[in-house]
Amino acid sequence: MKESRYAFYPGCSLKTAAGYKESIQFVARRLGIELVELPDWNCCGATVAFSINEMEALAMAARVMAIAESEGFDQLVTPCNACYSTLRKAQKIIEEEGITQQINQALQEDGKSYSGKIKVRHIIEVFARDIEKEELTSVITHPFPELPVAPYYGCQLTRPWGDLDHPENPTIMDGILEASGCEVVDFTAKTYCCGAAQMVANKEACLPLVKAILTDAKRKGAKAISTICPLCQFNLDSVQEDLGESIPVVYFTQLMGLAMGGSPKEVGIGKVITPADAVLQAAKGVR
Amino acid sequence: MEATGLLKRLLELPGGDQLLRCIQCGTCTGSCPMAEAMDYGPRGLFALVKGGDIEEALHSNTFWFCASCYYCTVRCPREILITDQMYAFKRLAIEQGIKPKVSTLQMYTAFHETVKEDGRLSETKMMRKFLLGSPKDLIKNTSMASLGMKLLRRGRMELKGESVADPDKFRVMLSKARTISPEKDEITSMDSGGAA
Ligand code: SF4
Ligand code: SF4
Repeated sequence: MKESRYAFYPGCSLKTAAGYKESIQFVARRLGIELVELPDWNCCGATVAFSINEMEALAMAARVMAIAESEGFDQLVTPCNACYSTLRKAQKIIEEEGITQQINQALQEDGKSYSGKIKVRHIIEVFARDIEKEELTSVITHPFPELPVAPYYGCQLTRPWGDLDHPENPTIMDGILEASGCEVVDFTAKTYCCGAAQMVANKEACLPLVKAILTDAKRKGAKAISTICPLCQFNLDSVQEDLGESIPVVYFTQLMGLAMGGSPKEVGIGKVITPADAVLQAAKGVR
Repeated sequence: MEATGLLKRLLELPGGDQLLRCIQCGTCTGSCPMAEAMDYGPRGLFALVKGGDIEEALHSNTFWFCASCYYCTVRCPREILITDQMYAFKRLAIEQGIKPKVSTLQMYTAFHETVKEDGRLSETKMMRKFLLGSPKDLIKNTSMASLGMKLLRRGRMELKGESVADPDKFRVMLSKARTISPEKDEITSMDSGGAA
């Protein structure tokens, strides 16, 4: 194991997410990883701040990173694709434009200072890359006997940079799901867009997007969809009634947690909207 | 002359000159999940700009429908940072007081106001602001109430929002950030030249 202690930036959506927080904490505990929530964190600004005022957007993101730096961390992990790409985007722009000093003039007003040295990572990198495979399999005590799962990544984990994994065909989740006993289905729609925040403002335009993703997962034989981002999970899960669909959409950490012997309650699976019966039944098979 | 001024203004935005590299191949529009909802796809938008019809471009709904999925950006053969262009269009339209017909700006405003108040986003608070500011969405979204109930039953409705330790300081930081905006400087100099 490379690290066992990380600065954790939950982002605004984690507290209302369907069991993501619970399952992340459960999995981290089992793996001996300490996630230290940043004190006094703020909203990263997401895509909204960049749409309104770029400098404000940069300051918001820089403030989050500045807090992690001042707490003595060199890595910050977040469970949200939007937070992940927003922080990284801000970091890149500030560096490329050479405006660290100006940004710090703003941060100063709130007693913060940003250097740009912090490395921003998505929580999936920690579980998929920092943990040795043997380490992971040693805590998977209850692998699913049979559960075909479609790994859904959404947009902003691998785009625009494509450095963490392939921008259109990432596979970073596969090993984790396989180690948990899931059968990973070949999933064309794995990085199709769920509509993101547009679901709030322009739902009609987003419904066909979600439909395409759910349909592809089902066509490939998946009994559940595994997600890595609160907004993705919410969009794929919450509109299924409108679409006449019913396929469970859970977090990858919920699948991991169940495979580690966690109870449905411990991984918060009762919080998803579309009943996760297929997942729970498969989990029961080994209990 | 106004159009020339705006076009100049757009091209002067960070990376704005990239638009001139566009070869109109259509890869962006072909990849865009929201293209069907847009009046012009990204390619069409850039055709307007290249043709000098910046007024029409700024009144289009293209960028208001953009979901920031970056599909266009990773596929553009001319390596134009299309998604960032969409952000630039939104900022310029806001600055010019051009109101979109779609509800995106109302949603952004609700989000922005909530974060300015608390430093963090309470989804409940944002939705309340959004729906109050956009009654047509309140009427349209009859399923919203039943979704709200589902979330409430699952303990996923945030009844009491969180905030940063000192929201006042956070707001001062944001105001300060706005004043150091290089874009702001450009606007001032453009305004003095173009508005006359
Ligand atoms: S993909 Fe790039 S070059 Fe092709 S039309 Fe779109 S912006 Fe122009
Ligand atoms: S980033 Fe925006 S414009 Fe580009 S493909 Fe996605 S939705 Fe369309």
